[in-house]
Amino acid sequence: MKRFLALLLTVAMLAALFCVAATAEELSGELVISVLADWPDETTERGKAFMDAVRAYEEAHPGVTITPQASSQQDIKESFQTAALAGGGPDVVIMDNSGHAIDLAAMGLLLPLNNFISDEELEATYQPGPLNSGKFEGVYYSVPWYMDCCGLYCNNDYLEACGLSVPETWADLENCLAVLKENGYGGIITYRSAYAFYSFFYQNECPVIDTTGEIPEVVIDNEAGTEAWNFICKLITEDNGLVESFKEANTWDKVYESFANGEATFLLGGDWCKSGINGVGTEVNYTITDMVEGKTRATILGGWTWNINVNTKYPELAYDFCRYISSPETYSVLKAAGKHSARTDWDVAAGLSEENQDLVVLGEQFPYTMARPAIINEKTVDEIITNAILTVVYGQANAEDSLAALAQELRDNIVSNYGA
Amino acid sequence: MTRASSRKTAQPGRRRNWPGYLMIAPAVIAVLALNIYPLFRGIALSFTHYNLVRPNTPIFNTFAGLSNYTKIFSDAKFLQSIGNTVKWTAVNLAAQLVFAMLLALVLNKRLRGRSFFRTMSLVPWAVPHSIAAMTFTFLFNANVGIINILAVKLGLLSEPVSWLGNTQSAFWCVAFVAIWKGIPFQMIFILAALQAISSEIYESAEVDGANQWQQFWRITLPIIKEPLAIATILNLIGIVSCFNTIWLMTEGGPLYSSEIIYTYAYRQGFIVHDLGTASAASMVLFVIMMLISTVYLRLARGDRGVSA
Repeated sequence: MKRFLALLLTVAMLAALFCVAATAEELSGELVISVLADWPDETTERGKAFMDAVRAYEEAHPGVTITPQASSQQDIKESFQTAALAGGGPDVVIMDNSGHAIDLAAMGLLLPLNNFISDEELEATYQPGPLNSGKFEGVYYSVPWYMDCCGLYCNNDYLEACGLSVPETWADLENCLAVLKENGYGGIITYRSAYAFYSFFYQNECPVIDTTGEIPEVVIDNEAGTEAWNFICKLITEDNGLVESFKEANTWDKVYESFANGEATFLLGGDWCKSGINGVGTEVNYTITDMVEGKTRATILGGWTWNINVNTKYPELAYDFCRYISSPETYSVLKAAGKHSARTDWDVAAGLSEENQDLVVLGEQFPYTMARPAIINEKTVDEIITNAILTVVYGQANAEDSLAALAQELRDNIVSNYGA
Repeated sequence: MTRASSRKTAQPGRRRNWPGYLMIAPAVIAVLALNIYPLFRGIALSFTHYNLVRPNTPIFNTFAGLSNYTKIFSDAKFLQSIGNTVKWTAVNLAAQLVFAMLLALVLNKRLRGRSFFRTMSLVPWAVPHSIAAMTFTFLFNANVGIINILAVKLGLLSEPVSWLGNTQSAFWCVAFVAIWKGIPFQMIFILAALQAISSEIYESAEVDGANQWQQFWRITLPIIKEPLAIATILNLIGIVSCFNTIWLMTEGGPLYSSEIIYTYAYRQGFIVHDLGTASAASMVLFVIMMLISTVYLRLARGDRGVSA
């Protein structure tokens, strides 16, 4: 009996040793991760925290080397796409959750997450908006990292000078813009894209494009959509709502400059705008608050996700790193960056540092934050909507004509990407 | 000599050339891989259904006939980009040629500090496209741009204008930057040609009573005609294929007002992800370039024939 027990113990120990060795073997290799340039930049607090987290992972997995590859926000998708189409590319890449992952999944360049984790577990772990931003044909492709949403930055001095308070509803916003205009103050600045304008459609319960069916359906010109569009056009034309810089705001720094230099009273943007505005160095006195309310409370989702290259030699390792970097183990990275995790267990107030407590108000919007329509070529859709807004800004079309043209162009786009 | 004996004598010669072939092989392979293969691949793609985001459709990667070409020629944005390309080319070429000629004529004179001015005039050419685009974007900025600040202070404008954000001005602002950057390239060719003209010719002309204007039209221009044509055609290729400056400053906007064929092709390829239509647009650009080059080569050959 003793011999048998000794033999059994030996076998068990050998089996355990073998399992450990096998796991260690699985999680070994060189992983190249493509991230935005500010993440591996150790001269900043966020960069240092990120690289510390990377080093901690390497220390926990002796056979693993993680090499961050810096890319700019403008070309991270294109450079990954080109490399992956050629059969190469980084093993892991971060993507803006504005539909980029869906395009890459449609091209067959991303590994589906159901190879590593069940849908149920994903849905229990992450917020639905960021998770759905990486869902293509019913399959999840992206591990959500951090999320943000569009809020309202208000110039306190201008509002006070005009005897106004922070707007809370569409009517308040209209009134504010009218009074500001009378007193010679500028209106709204935001990025020249559809990003902030989606919020107005969502606040009027119009999803812009309905993606619940097999083929997406354009609903921007239904009753709710028309009402939202008319509201946007009224802000632009009658209330002189958008400042001159909006026309050239194809980068966020132009948005910050406009607001920080006092051209605009309101800025529509996410949590990243705070450091951008402060970076201009004009010491503008401002408040960060939630978006105005329409028929309902709603705002647009932003943020980034982790995605695995279909060409990776180390899929298990790649997934494990994605899981790790978006887990509570690395919340220190998000705290240093002033970002909200996209996990359901994230504590909005406790997760942010003391100096970023003014961003809590944006985190509190998450329950009613909605993602852009999850469709192929979202960037083209964004461009079509932006151009429709610009035709109104330039006075080339009225609200009715621009909406009709916009809806038709969106429908043509859906046909070209999904068939009839 | 019989054919067999000539073959025998030719073979040792060919063998002797192997080191030469080996030395040029890397360059030939590079040209084949980076120029010839992409060219033929591009031609093939322009006749193929190749929408990257629809790889599972039955027509993906199948012969498309002329459908990609039909598609782009029925797209108002492409037609607008053709018009913009023509305007872009004409404006850039004319302005660069005139200013480069004037600058070369001035720098060919015996001036104090001529070397300094010659060096300085090359600075725009040496500045990378991205840096030039970023710098001018900042100068044109509606908020902090020096152009707006000065214009408002001088009373030329009542309030700042978004030069790159308006459909009427964006094209001209980007063209201005391209002209500024392109002048030195053309100028250096003209200056080199001017320096090759003997001063004795001008002295004889002066003795014959020719004024400066007549000397320019009757002596300078005919002599530098050939290098000028070469510089112009090279410059033309650079102008038509100018991408960086436009994309970095306006991304072809607003409302496609600064979109040229090149940016249209990029948009189709990397934003719409349809490599078939992107290649078709590139082929249209390629044909235009081929036509220009052919016309130039014929003219150049004709000139040499006459002079011989």
